[in-house]
Amino acid sequence: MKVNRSKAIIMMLMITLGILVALQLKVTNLGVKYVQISDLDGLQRTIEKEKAEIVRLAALKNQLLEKSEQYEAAQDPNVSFESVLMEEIRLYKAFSGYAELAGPGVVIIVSDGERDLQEGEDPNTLIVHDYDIRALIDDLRNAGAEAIAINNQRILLGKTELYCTGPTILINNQVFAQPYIITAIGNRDRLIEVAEGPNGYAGLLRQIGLYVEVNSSINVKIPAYAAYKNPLYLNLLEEIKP
Amino acid sequence: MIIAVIGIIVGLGIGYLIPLSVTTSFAIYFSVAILAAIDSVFGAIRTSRDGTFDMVIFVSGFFTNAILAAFLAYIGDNLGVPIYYAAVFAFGVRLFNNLAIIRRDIITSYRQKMTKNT
Repeated sequence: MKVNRSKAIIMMLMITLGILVALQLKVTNLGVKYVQISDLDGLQRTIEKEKAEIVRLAALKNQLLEKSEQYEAAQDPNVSFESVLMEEIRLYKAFSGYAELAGPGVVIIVSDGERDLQEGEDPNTLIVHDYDIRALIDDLRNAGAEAIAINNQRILLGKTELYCTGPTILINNQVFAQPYIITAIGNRDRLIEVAEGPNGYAGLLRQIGLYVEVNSSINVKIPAYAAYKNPLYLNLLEEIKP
Repeated sequence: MIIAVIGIIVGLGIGYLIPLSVTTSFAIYFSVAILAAIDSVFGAIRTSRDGTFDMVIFVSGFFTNAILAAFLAYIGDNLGVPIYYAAVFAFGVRLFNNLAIIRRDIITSYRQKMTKNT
């Protein structure tokens, strides 16, 4: 009798063990692995990166779908193909700087400092330089500014020149003196945060002694780029095939 | 011995058939628990060959070792100390020790049988 009882207990324990092993096998056969704590951070970052990529691709897909819908709509005899293409041209003009733009944004006014020079201080420190303007513009662009202008001159990345000419600055081949009024279209809060926040260039300039004023505006107007020149040196490497 | 094998097979069958499964986050603790249980089983086989098998020690060791191993691995993970490895090491070493003892025991008994027959 006693032997039978111990046998029954052993049997039950073995069944328990079998169940445990089977449950575990079900999980391990899924191809899921144990992640070590040291790997966790890297894996999380990878996941986030992949997720961002998925979002980006989804956005791209939506964009392309929209476009294909537009083209499909153009096949409708009521809507002319020309009007769709004109709409597209309008959009590209806006992006490439050919069109006047308006929208919410910020207005930053920068001018030379008015405080007295300290003994032995270089007067250059209190003058607005081209690199100050450039740094402010970079800050704005990093904050997601969609269009930027200085003194009603559109700033285009790779097109506009900012060139120091003594007390003035050459912008788009025109000379401007202070004050420099930088206008930018974008998320107002974010643009202000970047300009005024810690390590923002506007705050730095103010510390040095320059006059900097940052205002947000509900409607900023930004002119079209007016200094287009025909390229002298660049040629297309390959003609775009239709 | 036959009972043990039958029990394992029945258990595997039940485990596969029931619609329960371990979540992946607990699979690691589960694996330690299983290792502890297997260690207890081998310990039982060894003691039964020695003739010092004790049912109470076997049953209590089976459950407490499994639960404690899983629990300590869990705590270790939360503290950032991989106690998991310590459990694997401790139970693994004992398991192989027991295996070696069982193997020697089987071989010596087999040899004794052979010499008796001749």
